[in-house]
Amino acid sequence: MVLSDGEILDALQGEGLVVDPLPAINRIKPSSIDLRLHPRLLPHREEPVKGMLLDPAELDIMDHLESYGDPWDMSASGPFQMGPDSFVIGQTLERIEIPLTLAARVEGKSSIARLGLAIHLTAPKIDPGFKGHISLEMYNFGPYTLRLSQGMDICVLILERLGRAAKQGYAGRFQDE
Amino acid sequence: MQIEKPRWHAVPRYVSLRVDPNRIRRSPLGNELSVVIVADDTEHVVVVPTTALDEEAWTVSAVEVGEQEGLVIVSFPSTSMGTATLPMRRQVLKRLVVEARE
Repeated sequence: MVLSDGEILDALQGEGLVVDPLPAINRIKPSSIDLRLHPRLLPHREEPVKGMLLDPAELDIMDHLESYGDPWDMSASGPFQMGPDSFVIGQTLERIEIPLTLAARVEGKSSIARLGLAIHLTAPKIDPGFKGHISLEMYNFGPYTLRLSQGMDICVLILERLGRAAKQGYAGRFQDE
Repeated sequence: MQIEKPRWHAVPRYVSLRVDPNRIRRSPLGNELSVVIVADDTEHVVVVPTTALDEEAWTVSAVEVGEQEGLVIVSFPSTSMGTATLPMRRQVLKRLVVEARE
């Protein structure tokens, strides 16, 4: 069951749902919360990445991103120009905590989708117990070069109530310390 | 084939697991990292939030959530890449645990 605006407010006030900074009331929509873009982005280097043969089963993803990513901090370097057919990893400005009673999905916004920008690549699910900034796998399918700026509206968070609280989520006793 | 249902602990046990400090990889955005857990001679790369790592003790936090077919199920803090879980023998878990509490 997808949470409505009133249920989202209830979850923010007493169920352990955290959105930090707390969204203004006009950012809580009838069945979602608008989220913004964090200033730090991770474009990939065009060379030698293009066409590189990778085996996902053997890949150390952090090692790979460190080696072939080219970080861009919009707070220092200004807006990022994302060309057509390019891929950038980003994250939400807001830090999220999902309680064990809820799950969530991150989805795009129709306005920027119409320009060709996808904000996730088939991986929208956010597990119960998640704490952190949501990663965005952004791809520009459109013909335009898009200017990405920090704090722009980038995606929505949809919350769903679980039939029973998750067993395998992480309540985070150590993580909070 | 019959699969035994997991027996979930009513009260999960929170554990800090030792990791190899030389095999930690940080995401360039700084929010996630991967660590290597060796269980039963098999290396498992686990992605956790940066906040799960204790850089003084070189441990990551996790929670023992239950048991299935004689193996302990250990669940790690979630990231956008999902929630990592590892089944392992209790003897293996004992060797990895630095601190535990309910």
